[in-house]
Amino acid sequence: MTVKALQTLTTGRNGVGAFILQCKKMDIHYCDWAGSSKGMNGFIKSILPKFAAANPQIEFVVSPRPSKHPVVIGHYINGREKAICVRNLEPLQILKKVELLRDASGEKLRKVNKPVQSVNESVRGVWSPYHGNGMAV
Amino acid sequence: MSRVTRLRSAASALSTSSSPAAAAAGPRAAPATCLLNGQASTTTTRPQLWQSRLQTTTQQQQQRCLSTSTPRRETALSNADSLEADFVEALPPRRRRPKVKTDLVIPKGIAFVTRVDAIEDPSYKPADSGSGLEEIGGLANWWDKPGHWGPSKEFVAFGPLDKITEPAMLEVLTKRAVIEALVLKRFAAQKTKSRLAMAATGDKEELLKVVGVELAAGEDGAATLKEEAGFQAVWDAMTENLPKVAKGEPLPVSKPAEPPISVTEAQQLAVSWGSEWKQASLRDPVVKFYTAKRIQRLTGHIISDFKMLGINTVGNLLSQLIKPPKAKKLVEELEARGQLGELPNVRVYPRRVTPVDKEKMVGRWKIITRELEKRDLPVIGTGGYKKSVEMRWASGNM
Repeated sequence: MTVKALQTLTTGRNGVGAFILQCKKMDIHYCDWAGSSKGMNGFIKSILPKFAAANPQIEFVVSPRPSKHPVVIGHYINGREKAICVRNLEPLQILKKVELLRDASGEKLRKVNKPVQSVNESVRGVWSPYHGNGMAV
Repeated sequence: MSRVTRLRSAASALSTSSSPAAAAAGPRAAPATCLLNGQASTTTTRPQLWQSRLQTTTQQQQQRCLSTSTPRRETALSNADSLEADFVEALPPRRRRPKVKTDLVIPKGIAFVTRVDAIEDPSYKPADSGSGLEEIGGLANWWDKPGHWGPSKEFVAFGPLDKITEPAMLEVLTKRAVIEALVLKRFAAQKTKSRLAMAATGDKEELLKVVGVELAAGEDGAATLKEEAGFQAVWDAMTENLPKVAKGEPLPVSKPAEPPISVTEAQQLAVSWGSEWKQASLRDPVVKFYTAKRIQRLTGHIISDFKMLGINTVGNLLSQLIKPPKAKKLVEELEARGQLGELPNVRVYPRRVTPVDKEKMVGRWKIITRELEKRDLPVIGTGGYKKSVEMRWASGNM
């Protein structure tokens, strides 16, 4: 009886065929009164219209949060979310943070040691003792 | 200087001849005390002293002071009093300061109060301490008190402190400023009159006369009056009610006045003019500067040099002056701009998105409400229920 490998479904390889941005939604919170939101207010007024037009895959929700520091919260398709406090930052600095959230995968941050990562179990397949020429003991 | 040396000698004579207590008791003989500065009015003994006629008395006194025997107290006291009186009378009259013409309220020099021991009212009881007593007079904070500054020392701003922001009114006053600037440039040779006209605000009649003249772009595009006769007519209107100033006199300073027409009248005028006159060029720096100065006087708007560089037409000038009121909230400003509202992937909320709002968005709030009411639990808030005790026990917090 030959050993058969378990039949697996195709795994998604994002970007091989179509690319789906992992960030699906961004909450943008600001305060009308507080000075720490000055940069954020400027960002919403001047930079957000262009950024939102350039990234139609992402839903942007702008709402005030009185007496709180400004925050950008990114929601990802894996169900996770990332929040960045942008208090006292300039509009262009906030743009950097928003780009970071857009480009993030939503996964937890992990240390990457290997230069190559793969989702394949093995290129050569599963090893079997009953196959091949066998080994002389 | 001579007065000081003489006082010094008198003081030394007094202090050696009498005890400190007697010296302190000396001025008590006077019925009244001078509070600020005393001034000797009698000059009868002064010549005598100067002519050494009183020398014998002084010498006798000094001899007594130098003797080893202690002087009798009463005699020394009476001698000290008389000496002091003599010296006070013998003081040369103070040099009078020249009177200064001013409208400032200057504190008066001398004030007298009755001495405590001269008060005859039997019910009078001297206070033991100064706390709680009413303070009368004094020079503390004199210049901070109202009414002590004369009207000439008050600050008079060139333009009104409250800027005019009504668009129609600004349009009317800008047209007036440009017309007057053109006319002032034409009649700049009449220096006094043009300077006075530059600072005048004028009445309603004058304003209507000035803005009634048609302003248009000339052949080269520069702003000018449509009819040549308009220059003289406007100049006459501007100089009709000017105050008369003699040569060498400083020009009078007047406070800026309110615009003489109402906002409704200004709106009617602005509509009747159309917008052609706004195309006229203001490239001539003299006209531009005169216009800016007139605008400051009439409206209170100060146009900075940097902005002045970018103003080339009357329309540019109006766009600098007429600004929509600043939005209080960011949402209002975003609505006014209208950029974010056009994008399909952007939602802007005017107020905080609460957890209840989030539930409503996904249509879960009705179910939550129904289920909470079924269990007789509060829909919003805790309803007086606290966190479960078991949770606290489980976490180890007793």
